[in-house]
Amino acid sequence: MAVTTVDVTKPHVLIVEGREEELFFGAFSQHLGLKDLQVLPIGGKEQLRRNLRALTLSPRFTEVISLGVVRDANANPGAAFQSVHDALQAANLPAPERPLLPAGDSPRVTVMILPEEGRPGMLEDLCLRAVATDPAMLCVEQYLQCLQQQGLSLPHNLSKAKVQAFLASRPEAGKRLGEAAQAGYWPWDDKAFAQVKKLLQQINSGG
Amino acid sequence: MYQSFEMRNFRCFRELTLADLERVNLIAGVNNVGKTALLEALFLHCGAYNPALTLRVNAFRGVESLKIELGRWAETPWDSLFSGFDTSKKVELIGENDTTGRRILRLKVVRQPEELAKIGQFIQHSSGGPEGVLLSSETALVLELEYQEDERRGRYHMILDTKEPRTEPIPPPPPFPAFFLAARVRIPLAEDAARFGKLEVIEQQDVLLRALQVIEPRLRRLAVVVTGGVPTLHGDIGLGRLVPLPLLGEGMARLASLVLAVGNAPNGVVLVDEVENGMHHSILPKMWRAIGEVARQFHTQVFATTHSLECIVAAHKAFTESGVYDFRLHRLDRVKETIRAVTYDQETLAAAIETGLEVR
Repeated sequence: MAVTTVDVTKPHVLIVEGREEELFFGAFSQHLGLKDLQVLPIGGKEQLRRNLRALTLSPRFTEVISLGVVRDANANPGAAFQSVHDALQAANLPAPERPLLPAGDSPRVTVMILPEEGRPGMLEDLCLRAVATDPAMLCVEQYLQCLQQQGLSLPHNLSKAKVQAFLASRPEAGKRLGEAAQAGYWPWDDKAFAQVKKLLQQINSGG
Repeated sequence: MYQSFEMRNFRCFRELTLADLERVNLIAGVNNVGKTALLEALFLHCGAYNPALTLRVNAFRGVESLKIELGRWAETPWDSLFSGFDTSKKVELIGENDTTGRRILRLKVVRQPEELAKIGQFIQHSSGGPEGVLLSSETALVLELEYQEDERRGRYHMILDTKEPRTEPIPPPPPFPAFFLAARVRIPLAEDAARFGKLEVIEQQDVLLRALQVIEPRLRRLAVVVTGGVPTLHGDIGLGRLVPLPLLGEGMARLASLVLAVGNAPNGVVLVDEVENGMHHSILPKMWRAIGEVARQFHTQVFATTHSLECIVAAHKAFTESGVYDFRLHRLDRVKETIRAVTYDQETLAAAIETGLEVR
């Protein structure tokens, strides 16, 4: 019976879906020097409601000062925000009125829907915007055009395919989005990441 | 069965409320957070009217000797029961039980001369004896247990003086049986044998056999054999002779004591400190299945403590698979100067285990 546990160890917590997001936001917060921010993966949107409740019961959760929740918008950013809002309420946590507007004091809660407010998409779209001017992206687009010209159907999730193709151009190919973040392949200072950067700093400072 | 339990000023607890209690309750928490103390408080509450149980709970911790110093300011054997050793405040234990209702117990060390004199008069009156009973802080240590059940109230006094320790008046038996299995003190062999005998009387001895076969599938039969004057449970594992149960392993002996306690406490309570002691982790789900089945069969409520995540995961798995999730995990957390209880139901415990969140 393999049993490992994740403990709440820091006063500022960012909740993300899975391992890739954990690595991505962990690398970003490390880049920003945010030492009091802990990134916790607690599962996808289907489990968010019950997993948030479980998180609030964790030892030392009462010591959490600020809490951020990051979720992909996918096709419907409004529905994505609403599901987070409802999950927060079900867990007796402060539920913000809209994305990026903090609510409550104990803890102070902020929600961000990716890639940005009001737009469908996911973390991959945000990363692609950050590298839009990278010369490799021209090759990525050409690669996808080539597939079409060959009569091959494109992948269902084009954003994920583009990220993989882009990362294949880096010195160490084969990394996934989160691992790429750890390797420093995403340009943290690009304006595409400005809102995420602001969110991380805001949570780390308690607001 | 207890639905909720509250206490004030007991051991390390200024105040604690434990709600949403189930048939089987597992208490987790870091060292020195009060897991054993919670079991002790429940044990005293189960005893209902008997202040002498206060000395038993110290014995469970290995404090067997009783040193009595008389005098108004002398330390009493009960001081450690009071939060911060402050005997100026009463210990209060409140339980909601579906068969016996709400019962409040209050414990206080009686030191004031006027109160001691009153108690002396009360004892003389209730015993009808011709001699006056003189109690003073110089001659006796007195613990008062006051109970309140709906409209009924009463007081019993544990008296330590130059005579034998005694309780006045003699308390009635508790409303239901309760057993305490301490972490470090093994149940005497004769006691386990006697409990097995009681199961035999009601033809329920196979309950223990089935539970122990979980650990030792070769076990065919159990019997009580008197060896060296001590009745001892023996098992037949096909060696052509019976083997004393303790020789079959620590886990066997521990599970036997546990199941015998549960089976001998119908409609009562069994309290187990560090339930995983002596058990290999691979046995734990089966141990919990056995405990759940016997507890259901005898309508016994179980409170157990653990430090082990494997034990918690095993309990969750066993009760989920049983189809009857009559189990709760309660963790004691120290928050600043207070201790609070956090309770996981099936959904939140499943979520915490699946996401790897700490629950201990």
